[in-house]
Amino acid sequence: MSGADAAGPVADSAIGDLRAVRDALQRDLLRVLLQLDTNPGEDSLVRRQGQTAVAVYRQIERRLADLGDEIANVTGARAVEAVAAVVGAPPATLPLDVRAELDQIVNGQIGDVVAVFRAANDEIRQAVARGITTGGSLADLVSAVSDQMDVTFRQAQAAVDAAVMAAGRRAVVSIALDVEEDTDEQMVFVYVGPRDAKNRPFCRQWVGKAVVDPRKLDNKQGLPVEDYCGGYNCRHSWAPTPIPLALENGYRIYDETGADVTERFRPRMLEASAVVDVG
Amino acid sequence: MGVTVTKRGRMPKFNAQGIAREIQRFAPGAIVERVGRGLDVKGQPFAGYSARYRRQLKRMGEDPKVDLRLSGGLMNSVKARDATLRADSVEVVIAPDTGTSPQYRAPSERRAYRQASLAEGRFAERGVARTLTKAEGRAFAKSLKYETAGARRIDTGRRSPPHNIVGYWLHFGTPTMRARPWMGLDPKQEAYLLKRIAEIMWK
Repeated sequence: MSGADAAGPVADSAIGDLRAVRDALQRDLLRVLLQLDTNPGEDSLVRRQGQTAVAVYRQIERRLADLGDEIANVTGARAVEAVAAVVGAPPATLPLDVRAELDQIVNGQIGDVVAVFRAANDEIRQAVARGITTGGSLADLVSAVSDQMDVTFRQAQAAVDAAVMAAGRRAVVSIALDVEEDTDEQMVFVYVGPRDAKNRPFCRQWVGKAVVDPRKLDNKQGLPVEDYCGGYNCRHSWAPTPIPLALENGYRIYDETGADVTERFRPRMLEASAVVDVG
Repeated sequence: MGVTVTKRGRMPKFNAQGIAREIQRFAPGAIVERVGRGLDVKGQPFAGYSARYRRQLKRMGEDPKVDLRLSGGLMNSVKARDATLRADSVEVVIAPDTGTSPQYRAPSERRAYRQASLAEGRFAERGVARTLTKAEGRAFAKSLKYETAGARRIDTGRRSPPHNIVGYWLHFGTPTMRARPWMGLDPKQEAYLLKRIAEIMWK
């Protein structure tokens, strides 16, 4: 049984919502398209496109506008609730501003989900328009709409996943960045994750290195680096690490310009004997 | 005759808030960083992946290093989930969340052939071996092209089990998977944390 079907995991409620949207929208659109087959004496879209294409296209357009936007909004709100449930109420011992930051990420992802459905509406409209105006077969048209709905569903699901991962990263990074002079030691942030051909340039540059402040880096994706690392669906993580341990484990420390500032931190080192090759 | 003991100087103070904060700052990153280096809670390298899984990783274009990471969902979900402060103790729960991640698979040419064979009826009914229809042929060509389009992860559309369950399986192993104990601090990390807690209590 997949996680999506299993009872319990709260994130699945967001996935369930998105799946319901896809099914509802798909059913509705297909119903409109299949009306073409109910006219007696006509069995192909090509033969009757002149008479009904415009009417069908208008129906589809209207339904997408009404149903799509409405459902996208509902889904967005429900998805936020699900994300919040997964992320959980931050422990009361976390500083208030960290808790506020987590709320902000969770609320922010509503925009991503809605945007995905709005964009998809346009693409479905275009697919329908192409199918009708070029006189393709009804089966191809139905298949195009169905494919597009699958893509949309996965994109919206990816937006929910990305938000959940971003909130997880923020919860870890924020409290480490927040240094209280009296009690806390400064930490550096090790960029952890796979090193392979699929790495984005940002990930290739930083993986296996420690940075002083990830907030000052730019992943060229317009997304906060401390939340999204290299971008949407990034497989990497930030691991806040005390400077002595980072040096002991052989990490080099860099600032936001990419300059190696390891030596600046060297005097703080506790033991310089063990250096581990981290590849 | 009585004995009077006098201690001079500052005494350590149990600072529950400060200790909880230090654990929350240190432990999640320490776990993720150590796992990223392929080491378990004893500081020993994890058991290697099976040859079959390594082949799958290769077909997905993934790093074959044992870092318990495919989508990154599990490792990115490790954080402080709860903290209880008492007069003389602190309890901080560091754990993966209950969310799920997308399930991926490696591209497989064999999969396309199997699907086509099923459509052809080769495995469905003994003695029946019809030719693929034109539509089935097109679907087979499309599927074969998709499955041989290079190394990449293919989203199956299904979801993983919840992260906390996957984490448990990885930690303790299953009948078909070796244990790779990862939730916890290694001795070196634990020593560092104890030193920091002592510093906080003496502040």
